[in-house]
Amino acid sequence: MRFGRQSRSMRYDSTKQTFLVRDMQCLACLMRLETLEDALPGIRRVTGSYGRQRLEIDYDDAEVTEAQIVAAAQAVGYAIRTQPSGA
Amino acid sequence: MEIHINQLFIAFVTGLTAGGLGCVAVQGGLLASCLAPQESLLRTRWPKESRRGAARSRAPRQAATPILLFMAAKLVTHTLLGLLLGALGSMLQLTLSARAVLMVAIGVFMVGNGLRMLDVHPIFRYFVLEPPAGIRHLVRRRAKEGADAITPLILGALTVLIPCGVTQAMMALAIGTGSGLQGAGLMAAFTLGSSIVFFTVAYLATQLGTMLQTNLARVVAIVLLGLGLFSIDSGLNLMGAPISLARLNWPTSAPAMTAPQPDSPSVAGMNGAPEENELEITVSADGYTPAQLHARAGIPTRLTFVTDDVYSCALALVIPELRVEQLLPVTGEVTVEIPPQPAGRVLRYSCTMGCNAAQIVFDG
Repeated sequence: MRFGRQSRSMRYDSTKQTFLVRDMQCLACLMRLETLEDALPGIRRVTGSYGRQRLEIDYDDAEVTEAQIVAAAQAVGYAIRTQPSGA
Repeated sequence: MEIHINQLFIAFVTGLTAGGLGCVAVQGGLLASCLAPQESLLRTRWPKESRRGAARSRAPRQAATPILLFMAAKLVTHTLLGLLLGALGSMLQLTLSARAVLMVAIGVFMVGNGLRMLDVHPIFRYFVLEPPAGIRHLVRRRAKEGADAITPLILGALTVLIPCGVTQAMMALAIGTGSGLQGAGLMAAFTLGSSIVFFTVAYLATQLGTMLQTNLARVVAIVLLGLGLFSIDSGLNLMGAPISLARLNWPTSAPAMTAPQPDSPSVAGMNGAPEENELEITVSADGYTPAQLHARAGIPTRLTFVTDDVYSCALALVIPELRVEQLLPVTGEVTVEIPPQPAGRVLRYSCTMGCNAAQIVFDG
């Protein structure tokens, strides 16, 4: 079951998911997390905000799953989780 | 055009401490990304059988080249940026009070960044100006694609687009100089200082442990807090504010701090009543001595500043309340005439950097 803030675009068949990031300490962390864009197939765009401690990931859920994204973030040293609805 | 060497030195030391570590944190990944392909290139160039001899001694030099190219490009772009920002500052014709406000703002920015690094409260995260996502994307693309010798040059140049918090503060300071040349010098000195740390960390490829990294971040935060408070204090001095750190310890009526006058503190008129205060202030690299003087209220004051082979920002004198800005000679005497002041008035002055605070108290 999917929860959190997300939207689907039929045109690209993509999902946009907002993740909360723990321990993002500076811009370097943000830029490191944005490399997830190149790390996994199916991720179209990763943008984030250090100030808000958020990552927005635009991905094709036919190619990559949310669990894989969370695992990939963990591999570069960050615990991320989907933003609960209304947060 | 005059260059304030003290300011350049402070910028260099800031680069060497807070700036260097801040830059490594934000831009170190970029350098690593362009070093990795270079290393694989190195391995391809030196096959196993020939690597043992000559290659071993040449490899470190080969590894240093991309780092040096990266640093050189970074230095050039940051110096140019300083030139532009300084020129912008001069075009804005910053008034004395605008400069003072800017210094306080820079100080607040630095203190905010220090508190952010100490993780005091999430609100302080907003003290970092995030480069737009498009620029971050562009830099990342270039780092990913490039494996040639020009990549470190391009990435070094691009670091100007992703400044760390300390660099951002220096950029604001460059605007505050109000001079293209001084701005360029300031950014160059800062980048040179930070490059030493950057090069050392990158060259030794130090993988800092988490605990050491956290401690270093704390050191950077404390340095930033110190520099920030210094900048706020300088801004307050420049405003002539009574609440700066230097002035906290000065009681306005302490006789012990009254300046010893060589002859008499005042020139007597025909009826014997004093008609003019004559005060002499020695200017040195340490500032203005005595730092606090007492003078008689209600009569004009002749304030003579004496310099003897002085090379410091104390030569650029500012008396904010009277809007006096006077550049003193390296060696010589300059007299400033002050109109009669009411009793209890405290006339504050400092250098244009706001770092040498002094005052005259007018007694009844």
